[in-house]
Amino acid sequence: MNTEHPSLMTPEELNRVSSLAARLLDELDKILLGQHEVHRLLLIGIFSRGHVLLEGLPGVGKTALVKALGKLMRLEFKRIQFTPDLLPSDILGGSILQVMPDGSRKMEFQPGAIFSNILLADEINRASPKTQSAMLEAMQEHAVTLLGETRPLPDPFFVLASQNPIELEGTYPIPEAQLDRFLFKINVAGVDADVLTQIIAHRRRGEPPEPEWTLSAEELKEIFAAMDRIYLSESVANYIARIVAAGHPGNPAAIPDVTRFVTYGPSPRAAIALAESSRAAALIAGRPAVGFEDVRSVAPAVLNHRLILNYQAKLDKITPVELSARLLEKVDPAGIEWPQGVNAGKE
Amino acid sequence: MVHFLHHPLEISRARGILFEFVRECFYFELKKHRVRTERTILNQISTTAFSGAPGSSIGVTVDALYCGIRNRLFLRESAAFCAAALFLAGSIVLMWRLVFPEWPRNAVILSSVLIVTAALICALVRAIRLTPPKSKLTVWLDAHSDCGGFLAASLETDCSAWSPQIRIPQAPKLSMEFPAARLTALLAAVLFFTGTFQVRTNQLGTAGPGTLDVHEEQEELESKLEILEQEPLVPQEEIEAAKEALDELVENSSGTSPAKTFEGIEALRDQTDSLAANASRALEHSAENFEKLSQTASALANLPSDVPGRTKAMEQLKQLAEQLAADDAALAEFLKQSGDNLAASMTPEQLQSLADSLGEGAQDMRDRLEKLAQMRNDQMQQQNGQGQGQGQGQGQGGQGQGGETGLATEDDYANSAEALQQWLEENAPGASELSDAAGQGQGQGQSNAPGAGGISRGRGDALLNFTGETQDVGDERRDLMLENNTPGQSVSILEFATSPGDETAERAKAGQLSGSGQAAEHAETRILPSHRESVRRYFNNSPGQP
Repeated sequence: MNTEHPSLMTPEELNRVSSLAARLLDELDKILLGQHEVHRLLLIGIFSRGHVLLEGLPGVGKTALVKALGKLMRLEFKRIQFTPDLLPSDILGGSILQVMPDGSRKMEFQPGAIFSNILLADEINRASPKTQSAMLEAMQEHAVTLLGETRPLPDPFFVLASQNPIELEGTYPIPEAQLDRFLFKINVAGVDADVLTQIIAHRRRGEPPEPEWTLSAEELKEIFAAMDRIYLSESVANYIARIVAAGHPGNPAAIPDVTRFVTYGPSPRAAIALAESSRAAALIAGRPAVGFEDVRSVAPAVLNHRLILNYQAKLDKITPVELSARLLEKVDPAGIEWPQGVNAGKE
Repeated sequence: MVHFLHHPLEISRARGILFEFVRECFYFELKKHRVRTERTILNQISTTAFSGAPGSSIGVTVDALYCGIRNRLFLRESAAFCAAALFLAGSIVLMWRLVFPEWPRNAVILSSVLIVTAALICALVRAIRLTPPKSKLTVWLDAHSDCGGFLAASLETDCSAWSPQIRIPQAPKLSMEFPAARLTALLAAVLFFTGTFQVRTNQLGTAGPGTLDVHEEQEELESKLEILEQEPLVPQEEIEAAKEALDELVENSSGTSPAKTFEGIEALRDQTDSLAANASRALEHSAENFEKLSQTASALANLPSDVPGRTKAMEQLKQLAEQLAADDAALAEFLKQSGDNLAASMTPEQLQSLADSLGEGAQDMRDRLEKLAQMRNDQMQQQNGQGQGQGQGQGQGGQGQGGETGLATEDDYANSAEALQQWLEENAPGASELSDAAGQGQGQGQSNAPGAGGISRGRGDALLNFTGETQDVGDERRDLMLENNTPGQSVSILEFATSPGDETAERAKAGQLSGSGQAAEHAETRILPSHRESVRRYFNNSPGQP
């Protein structure tokens, strides 16, 4: 036993926090039906203090989800509809000449919509790259620098962006540098008929109900504190590192499919994202230590936008999600090189 | 190990299940072309039996998993290593039985056992190296179960607070293929190893019940070669070659081909006999020369010092010695080693000393010749003895043995110049001055002593004697027809009135070829009367001849 490693959280400590997370998840499931996994990933992203990119067809509930999350977590929520004529100052804010009552004039900073806890960047791919790049510093540094002055953003700060996978005319793909700053890219799919029946039958105009319970700021801080105490063992960390290494086509550990279909693999930021999101997954599951299944559950969302595929993948209709699944299948969690002829698998 | 399982548990039931788990670690399932081993870990341990209380220690589980994998790998690797070891051991046994049968049996078997043991050790070492360490097995167990990272975390930190929530991991499936090729190789190796013990030994080996016994011939030839080896006149390299040939012959003697063996032995016999014959001839020649010189020197030593021509006689003695030494290496070596300078100034004592030394040398050679003669067969020895007496006119040895052969000895010539002359005439035909010094000074010495011919001595014609003459009946001839009335085929013959008379006594008289009176061998033939005169003129008999 290594005494240098911190001890695990006690069950009592973790149960309180995990119950909060579970309640939050339940409330989300009540508000928006049929998207449990999306809700779970979204919460994981929130608990990991990361930004999330939601991609789905129009009308699947992306905006409603973010709104509901904002309400549940009692966080300041602002929305920006990204249009082609959107300027960076519309997002970040700017200084305007203000006439005071006494007649004097002075420049006063007017914060933009980014100064909130949750920023919903709706259809982020419609804005120009110049406008999109205005969010780079904010997403990474949680601060905005204008006219030489750096202004911190509220804490916590999340960017929940959405984009439409169709109607690509007049859109600008998000740069890879900005894409890499999103913790997750969650594909929001439609719901099945049963869920639609419930939506139609029990909700007027599909509007979600108001939450019956909300998460306080202190409770959110408790969750954040508990996140720091979720234990990540070296074995799991090594597993994460080998997954990221296997995703690079030039790496000796790369699997054949990666070598064939991937142009650029995930960055070290992806490994950090995997580690943090795995902790959140373990917390939501009520475990004090990260397990291998936690990593496997969040890896597709983490790698979805970080595996840059080549034309061969497009021709063969290979998606990043599918490639992530193959990656997880091939990389052994324990890192054991079994002797030839030995087949070890899960029953 | 992990200390997070301290809760009270059903010890007896846990022990029983653990025992079943260990017992169920191995079972094999044969499928088609491969032997496949499957082992399900912890299948017998049900989670319901331990709800709320963890079952057996994960450490014990991991140990059992480790041992199971290692043992299976050991079995698989030992098949390959043992196959190689059995092939190697079988090769050693085969070499022992076929090529080197003198190896001790116990050593061969012990070496085979050691090789197989070493193979098993190597297999075990390789299996241990291939087996993943226990920490990785723990992680692997965690990854393939619902432990939720507890097992992996338990390797690094204290998870005792969470022991109630830790579930016994589900049993992941572990299978190991046993390649049929290894099993086939092992089976072939076992068959090969056991088969080598069935091979007949000594197929090319040494003497045994089924081989040819040539010990007697071997001893005979070895004794002959020993004698020849002691003889300086025999080239040593030829003796060594003969010895090697004998050793090879004995080694390769086989009961399946006795003819070859005996042919080789016979060839070796002939070779040794040839060597002995050559040595004998050389020895005999040297002995003759030694004796000749010895007797001559002794005779000269006994001459009075005031005999005229003594100086010339000494010079001729020296020339005689040089002449004899020219084709006699032993004599040349003797003269060189003796350091005697044959000169006219030698005193009688020196001459006598020289004569004694030469006589001793001749005796030594005779002894060696006797040895060689004994080595050869009796017939050849007799032939050598008779040939020596007949052709050379010198008997065996040089000291008082010549009486048997009828030859004069040194004693006879002592103080007798005439006897010396006669002796010199008979034995040293070219030493005319020696003859003069002996007081005779007559002639050049007869060079026609019967059987004493030579390049320098001239023809050694035997005495010619005509006996049993018949009267000529003239030249009346008649034709005698051949048998079968062959036309034109006839031979002309002469008819004599009477047949030749009884000539037995005359032959005996004519058989005396020397004045010694010995009845020696003679040759006779019939010739026509008309050829008589021609034969006489050819042989140019002395007036004293009949």
